[in-house]
Amino acid sequence: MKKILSDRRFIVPAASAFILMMIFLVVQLVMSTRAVNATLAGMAIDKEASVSGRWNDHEIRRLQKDIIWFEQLLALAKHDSISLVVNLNDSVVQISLRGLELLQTKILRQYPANFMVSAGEATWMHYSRISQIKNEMAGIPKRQVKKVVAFASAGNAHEPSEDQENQRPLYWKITTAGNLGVVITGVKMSADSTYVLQSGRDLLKYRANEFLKDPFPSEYTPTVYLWLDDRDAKAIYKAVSSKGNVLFRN
Amino acid sequence: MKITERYTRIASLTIFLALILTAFLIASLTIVPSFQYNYFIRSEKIVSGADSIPEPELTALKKKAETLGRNAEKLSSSTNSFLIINTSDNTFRLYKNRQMIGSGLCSTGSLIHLEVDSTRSWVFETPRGVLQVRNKIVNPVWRKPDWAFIEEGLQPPPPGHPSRFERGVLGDYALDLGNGYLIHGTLYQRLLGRPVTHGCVRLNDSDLELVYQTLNIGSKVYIY
Repeated sequence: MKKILSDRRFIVPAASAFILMMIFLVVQLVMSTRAVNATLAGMAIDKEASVSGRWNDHEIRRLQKDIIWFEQLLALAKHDSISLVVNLNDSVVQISLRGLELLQTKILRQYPANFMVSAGEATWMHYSRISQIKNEMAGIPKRQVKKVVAFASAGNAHEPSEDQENQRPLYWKITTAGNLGVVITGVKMSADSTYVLQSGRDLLKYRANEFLKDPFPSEYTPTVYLWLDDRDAKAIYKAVSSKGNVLFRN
Repeated sequence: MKITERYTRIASLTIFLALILTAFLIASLTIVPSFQYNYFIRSEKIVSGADSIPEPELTALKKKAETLGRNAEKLSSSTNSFLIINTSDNTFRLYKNRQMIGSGLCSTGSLIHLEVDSTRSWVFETPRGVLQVRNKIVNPVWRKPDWAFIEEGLQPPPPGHPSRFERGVLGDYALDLGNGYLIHGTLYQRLLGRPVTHGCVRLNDSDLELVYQTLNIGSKVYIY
């Protein structure tokens, strides 16, 4: 083995592969910073100056976050559609309608763990505003309408059928108009009432899919990955319209 | 001997390349996104302001936060009775004086699209959003719509025909939500918890009675 490892015919291709991969990784890192800069330029966030200049003060920051949060909740209550509220501060996701919380579910796991916690004031202000869903992608349909032709199937229209789609855990990815990404994964409860999370595997799978779709994306969307109880996650997914509002807080 | 050595070298090289590729793939799927996120978060220059905030300003901020917090809390603390229906799980929750006083299974729209021809079709879906109780009915009589006959393989009779009126199938009470949608009882209690209705909300007898007694005309019914 030692002989093989020191053989030039082994070292040259191995070293070439290593260097190529290193170059690829560096290019990926450079492109990723470019994507961030391009996105920031497009969003017109003033990154040069803090709004109040007191964002470093922990108490002021908390108060300002509270004020924005309550203002946005009050504004959201004026909308007639069901809205998605992601409250990382309390580790819950909920849906609300005219200010009434219809359903609330606990976040079982979140990645990144401290999403946007250390963001600057201007960035935080941008992402904590109500924003409409720009596009969404999911593993199951929102409304699974079953077509029945009259007279051809008389008598069986009432029969409930087992919904195969609903047996699969939910995968739901949304991107808001404010450039916030939320990926919700449903987690089934096992027979002994525990959740078996495979968040690492899920995350790697999602990123691999994104990488295969576009290895060098031109824009960056900060994305939070959430794992929720599958039943609640599906109820939330079905309740929120594809153009619904999203409110985020950390 | 030489052939064996050659194969060993090729195998070693393949394994080594596969390892490098895997390592770099994992790196590009973990290190790059983390780096990108951190770069994004730290791209804002935090400008330090005054060393400390003047006391009156801090008090004003606290007061504003408290007032807004109280207003936000009022949004979800209505003393009126209301009902929340989950069409995904086919469950309901009944509230009175900010307390949940009942919950259980219900049945909602089946999402069946019944098509007769190009001009007549129905989608049996429970409407979502906020509805109001418009009327409360005791011993309701079901006025069978056209689709009820079509489902049975019959031609619908003219409006007002005696065969359109059926007693006892909607339970003891019904709450009218408008546009033909009702909350009512059912003969098919084993199907509660499943989406089997034509858009109405079905409850079992005891839940229906509780809902009927709790909700008033004008009470809100939230459906999601």
